[in-house]
Amino acid sequence: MMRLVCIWTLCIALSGCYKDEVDLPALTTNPFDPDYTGESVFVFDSTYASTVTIGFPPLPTVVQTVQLHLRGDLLPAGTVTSVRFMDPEASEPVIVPPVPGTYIYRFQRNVVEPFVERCYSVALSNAFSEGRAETICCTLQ
Amino acid sequence: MLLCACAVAQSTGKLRLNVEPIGSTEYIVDGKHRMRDREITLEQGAHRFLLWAPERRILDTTLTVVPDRTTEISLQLRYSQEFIDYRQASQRFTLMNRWGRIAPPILAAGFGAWSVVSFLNYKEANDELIDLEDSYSTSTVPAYIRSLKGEQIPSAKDDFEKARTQFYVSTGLFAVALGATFYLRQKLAAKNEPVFQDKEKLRFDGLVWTPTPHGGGVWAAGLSLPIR
Repeated sequence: MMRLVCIWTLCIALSGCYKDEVDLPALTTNPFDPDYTGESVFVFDSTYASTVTIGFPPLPTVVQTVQLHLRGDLLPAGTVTSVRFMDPEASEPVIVPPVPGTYIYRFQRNVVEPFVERCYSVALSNAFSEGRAETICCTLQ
Repeated sequence: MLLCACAVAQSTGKLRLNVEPIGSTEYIVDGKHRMRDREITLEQGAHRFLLWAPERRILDTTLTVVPDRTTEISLQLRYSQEFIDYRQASQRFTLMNRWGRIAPPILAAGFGAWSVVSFLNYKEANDELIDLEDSYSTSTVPAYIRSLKGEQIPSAKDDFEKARTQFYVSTGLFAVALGATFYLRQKLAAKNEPVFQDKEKLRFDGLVWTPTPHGGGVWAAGLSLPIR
């Protein structure tokens, strides 16, 4: 009986380790969280004009490309994600997949506007839902 | 059978005593003769009878003997107050002894089992909460993260609180039951079973005449010593 009491006392002592330490308001560290409060995961690389073939029959078209990459050190290991681009001139956002094997994303718009600063809303996107939206501004030189 | 030798000129009659309890009743006739016989022949007229049986109250009564007839007498001796008190005390002791030894260990075992189950639930709730927290850190689906923060983690926190409360309550009850088990075991071990002292017997044995097979008799005084 005394052994049982001792074992049980030990269990109670160990159960002291079980504390509800999950602080919901403090859970803002995941970049995919819409309430994420950490550093920006988007890094603007460049914007440039290029000619691509679009449509059928294929027609060469000049487009403006905005390239950015994600900070892999801020993302959960092995993350594969898309980025939602929202062009202020467009009515619908565009979901852009990464360049395979990288965290580089290239968004193309049909309008080329040299020397005009444009700001785009970008957000991580996965399974039809988006994380925190950020703004990236750039000017085509 | 007792026949008074001095009764020469007078007629005699018989008394047949049907006294409850049967077999153990003794009586003293006219303050002299202590007997157990069921039938007795006596001179006609009134005779004083003191009847007693173990655990019963002494009945002091006068019975009238009718000459040349057998008179049936039916009597019931009532339990003495000492015996009633003893019986109640004995029943209380037995009840207390039985339940005092059985109930607390059963309760302790029940609360102990509940406590173990509560502990497992508590641990499971804790693990669930940790898993959800890990899921938050590793998830790459914003909708799932929203669901985690809005529903799953708050729900898991509630479950955790409930499981913890249940564990504390069950453990507290288990400790109380365990304490009661030890306490009652000690207390009952030190408690003595009530002993019946038949004071009516002492009174009845006080001074009686016991006939001998030779026709004579002895005066006897009774003394009871409880031996433990």
